[in-house]
Amino acid sequence: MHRFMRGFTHRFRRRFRHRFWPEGKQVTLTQMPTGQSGIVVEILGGRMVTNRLSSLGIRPGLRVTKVSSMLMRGPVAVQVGSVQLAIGFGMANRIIVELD
Amino acid sequence: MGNPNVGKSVVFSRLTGVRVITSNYPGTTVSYTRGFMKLGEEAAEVIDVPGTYTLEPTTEAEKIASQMLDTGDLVINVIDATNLERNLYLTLQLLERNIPVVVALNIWDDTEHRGIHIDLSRLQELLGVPVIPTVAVTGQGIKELVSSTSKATSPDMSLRSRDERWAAIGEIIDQAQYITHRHHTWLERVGDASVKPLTGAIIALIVLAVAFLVVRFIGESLIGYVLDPIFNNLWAPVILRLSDLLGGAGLLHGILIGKIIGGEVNFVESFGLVTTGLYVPFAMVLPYIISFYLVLGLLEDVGYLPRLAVLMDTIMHRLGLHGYAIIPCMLGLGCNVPAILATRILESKRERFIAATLISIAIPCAALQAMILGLVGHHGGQYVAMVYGTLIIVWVILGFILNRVVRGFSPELLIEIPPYRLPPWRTVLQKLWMRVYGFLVEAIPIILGAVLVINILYALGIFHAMANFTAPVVTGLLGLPKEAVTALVIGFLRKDVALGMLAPLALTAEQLVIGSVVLAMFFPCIATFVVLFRELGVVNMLKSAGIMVIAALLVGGALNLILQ
Repeated sequence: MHRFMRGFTHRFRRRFRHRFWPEGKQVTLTQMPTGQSGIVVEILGGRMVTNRLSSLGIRPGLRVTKVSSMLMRGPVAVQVGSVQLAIGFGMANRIIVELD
Repeated sequence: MGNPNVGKSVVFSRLTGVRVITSNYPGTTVSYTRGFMKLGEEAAEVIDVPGTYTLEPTTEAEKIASQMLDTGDLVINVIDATNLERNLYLTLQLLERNIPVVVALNIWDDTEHRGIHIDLSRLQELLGVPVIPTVAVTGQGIKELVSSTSKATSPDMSLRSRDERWAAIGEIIDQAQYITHRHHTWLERVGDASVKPLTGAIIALIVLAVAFLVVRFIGESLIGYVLDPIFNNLWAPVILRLSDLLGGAGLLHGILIGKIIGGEVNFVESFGLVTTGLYVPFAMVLPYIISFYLVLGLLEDVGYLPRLAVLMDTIMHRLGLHGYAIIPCMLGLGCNVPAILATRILESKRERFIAATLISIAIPCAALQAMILGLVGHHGGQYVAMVYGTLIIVWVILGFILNRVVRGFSPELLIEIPPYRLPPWRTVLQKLWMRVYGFLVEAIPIILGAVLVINILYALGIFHAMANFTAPVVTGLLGLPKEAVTALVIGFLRKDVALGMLAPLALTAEQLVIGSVVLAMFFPCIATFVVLFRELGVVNMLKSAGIMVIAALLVGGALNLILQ
């Protein structure tokens, strides 16, 4: 396939995946139930946010498991590989995860 | 250099013999330390820098790290073997700079039971620089690390984009590491429980309550069974002999021994250099310094503090901070100086201003707390509770106000939660000794100096004039005797001595509560003042100091109305 087309289908799939592949449900990290795992598919946010998250080990393609979340819009704790991270509510809300 | 909480400072201590404070949470080191190590016949300078995830810094501490990179001839990149993938990002960034690198694969002992297997020779081949497995806490691999510095190379690597780096790391990981499954350890179960809302809150309450009780128990036992007997049975007779020799009166007697009433030495009230001047630091403050830093050191090394930060995040957001600011606040309960330095782990200027101001106003240091427990506690626990209660309320309300008033933004919490570790007693005690030693050499000269200054000012009648001048505020607003102003002035030097000055004034319990609260809030001691100036700049320091004076007078006045 042409390189241009491949990029296009990739973007198309990401955007409309939930319509064609409904079993891979996509939610934000805050909506994800505790104990559930999933693959990060997208981080909605500026370069600053994506840079900080990626340097700590959260980036598209990685599997995360939610450990806990605090009440009242508190931070979310997730396990990525052997690391545990705490992510503030606002930031966690911008991380889109596809549930296993 | 390396990511936060991989043990850079421990490696540094091992290399140079210079002792630095180390803990189990990211952001322990916030400035750089220099030391020397022997390299063959020569001495090579080694610099310990704060941890950073990338060379694009987001906090003040990380900025220091990336600035120091340009001054070095060789980088020892310490990486956490249990978390290879994330750590390699900084490694690749370092390799792209044309600077020789050796990699210390630290926490090597932890990989096996975590089911992580790393092919060392393959990793070394892929990175193109020496890779030495180390266990810095025990010293394993440090010798090899030193000898490998001569083999440090700078492989020819061109600058890459972020995605290219992650792709390269993916390949390295595929070839050099494989992970086998294993079960959760009990430490991990406790770790998970302490960041869940319900169990976390229960654990936090238990931990803090136990910490407080242990601090009091050790502190009081040291005073009651060790130091008071020494002073009363051994030192008091010496003082009385000395007093006789000096003729029982006169200027020198006044400065050295102070007032002796009825042939007995009152170490708290006599205010001489060798009586109160020694009793306050050694028998009232030192025991609590020891007990507080023992407990804090344990909490730090076990790795509990970041979990407390997660639990407190929602509350701290109301104060214009995020959860991680709880760590400087906890350090402030020991001494405000390292606490204000520790605000460097916060990202924005606004947060640093709010945190530094809150710490210097509402967080009493261990020395002051020891005096509060000693003097106010004498009248009953409810008065001590009143002092702490007031300070906590002030902390919350002031934070709430500052959050509304101070402009700028406060970013979201984003931290790594380190695994719980059981620290070896040696490291805990070593750290305790460093901090106690720091107190002994830094605080005691100032305490003695303060007592000397007090006696001279008394003799010259300056305090008397000052007391009359400020009487409307001190007596009218705060309801304290006018002589209490001397304590507020001396509070600028040392707050423990200052509170001690209230002892001979025969205050009621309520007055002591007001005095303690006002002293805690009023003005930072000179050491804190200097750090505030350095960290915040002149303008913000003056703002912060202004807030302190106003808040102290308002709260003191309010307490006076309520209590009397």
